[in-house]
Amino acid sequence: MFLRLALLPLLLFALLVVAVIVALGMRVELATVLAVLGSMEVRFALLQSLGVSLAALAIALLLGVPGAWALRQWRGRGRMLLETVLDLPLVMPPLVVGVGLLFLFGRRMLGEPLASLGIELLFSPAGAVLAQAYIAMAVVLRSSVASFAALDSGYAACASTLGLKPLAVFVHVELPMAMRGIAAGAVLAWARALGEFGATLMVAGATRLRTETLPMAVYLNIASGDTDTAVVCALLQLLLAAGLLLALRLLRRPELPA
Amino acid sequence: MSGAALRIRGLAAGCLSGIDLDVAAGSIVCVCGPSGAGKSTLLKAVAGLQPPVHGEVWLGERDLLGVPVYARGLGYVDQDLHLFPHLSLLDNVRLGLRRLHLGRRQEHEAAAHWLQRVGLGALLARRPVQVSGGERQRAALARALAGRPALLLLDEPFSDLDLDTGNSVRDLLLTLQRELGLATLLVTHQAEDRARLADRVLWLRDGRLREDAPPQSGSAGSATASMTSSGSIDTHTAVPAAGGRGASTQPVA
Repeated sequence: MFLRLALLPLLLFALLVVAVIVALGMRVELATVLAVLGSMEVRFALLQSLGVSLAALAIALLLGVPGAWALRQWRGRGRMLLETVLDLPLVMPPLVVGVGLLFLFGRRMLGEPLASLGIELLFSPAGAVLAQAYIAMAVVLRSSVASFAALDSGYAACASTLGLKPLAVFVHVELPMAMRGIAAGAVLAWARALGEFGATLMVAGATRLRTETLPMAVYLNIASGDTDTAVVCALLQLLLAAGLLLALRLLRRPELPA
Repeated sequence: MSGAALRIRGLAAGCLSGIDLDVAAGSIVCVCGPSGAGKSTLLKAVAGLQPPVHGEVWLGERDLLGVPVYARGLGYVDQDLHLFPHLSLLDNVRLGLRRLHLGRRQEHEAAAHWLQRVGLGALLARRPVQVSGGERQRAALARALAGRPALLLLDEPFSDLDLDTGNSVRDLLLTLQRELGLATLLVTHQAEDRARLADRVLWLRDGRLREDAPPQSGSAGSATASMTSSGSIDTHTAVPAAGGRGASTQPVA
């Protein structure tokens, strides 16, 4: 009896989730969806979203995975403080992150020296990559630290006795063994980057056919009254998110003996 | 690299203190004692996995203290074996060959050769989870020996095996260890290890070496132990007793 009672709110919430998707889907006819999908703006937004989020994910993985490994090894003072600082982006509102990045890379701070080197980050696709990498990095770091921490340290010790230097131990033993957890974190980080709006809006702006990712396209078209394009972009985003969720579930399945 | 003697003087690490010990090239010294006595700590200190507070650890003419674990040139097998689960048995042994800097083909051939030596020639592509406990033990031994270590450290490697399987791996270890002339330090709780493998048996209690007993003796009152003035064991004077393997081998050091 209690089980059924406890399940009831879950079922109601599941109904709400489905209702939101149905409400979005019912706004447009199939023929309209197909027509809008072929438009240059939607194609641009889709490719821009994929390109920017993948670039952000690549940066987050390149910096985050070795960083997480180093953090796992490091026993120095201040480790707890550093970990807390590194986790801050997880709990910071994206809009606040965006405003901070805007000021940091603005003309008064890093913008000027970067501009003298020919690097323009604000209100450009590069700015969108920066904002999304910031968001993705925290997710990659957290999941990678947890994956390395879950490894039995005896494997690394054993590899060292075999003559493997620390880099070789990382490449041949620890990284492959932590790979499932890191990949699950990467999928989650990619999903966060794909759906990122607040920070991207502040740093890259919302310029049609320039910094227009899928969430930006939803925002721009709702604001301009083009509901059909906004809904199709929203559905596309939902489809991508569902695919990533499925990938995450597959990665988190218990490993079967080969 | 093979056939170097291990010499430990005044070693203090973790719960260990004042450890003096010699293991001659080609001999097997079993380290016994109750849980928490410091047996595994001794092995880890020699391997470099546990930093010593002070003391000397020499392997032949090399002072091992300060040498990184990866450069010590030893073979180490612990109770959990730690065969890398994402690699085949062949690739596990290949990692053990990395320090020899062979070409890819030579490395492959040498790894296959070592697995054949331990009777796993038909299981090269299997992952550790796909073979039996005894086969995993053999693979771990092959991996530890493949890189031509100068010293073999074994931490209760046979504890999870049934008697027959354990004895077949013990025989294999003895053959290979003799062939390579390796000084071997074996931590064990098992009488079978002392009886079949040991040239000498050391007893550790509360972090100190208490006696140097011949194989198959109990834990107290060995007539062959010779205490130095510092209370440590003068293993140079220990005489193997009849009955154990030590009876047919030369005294240590």
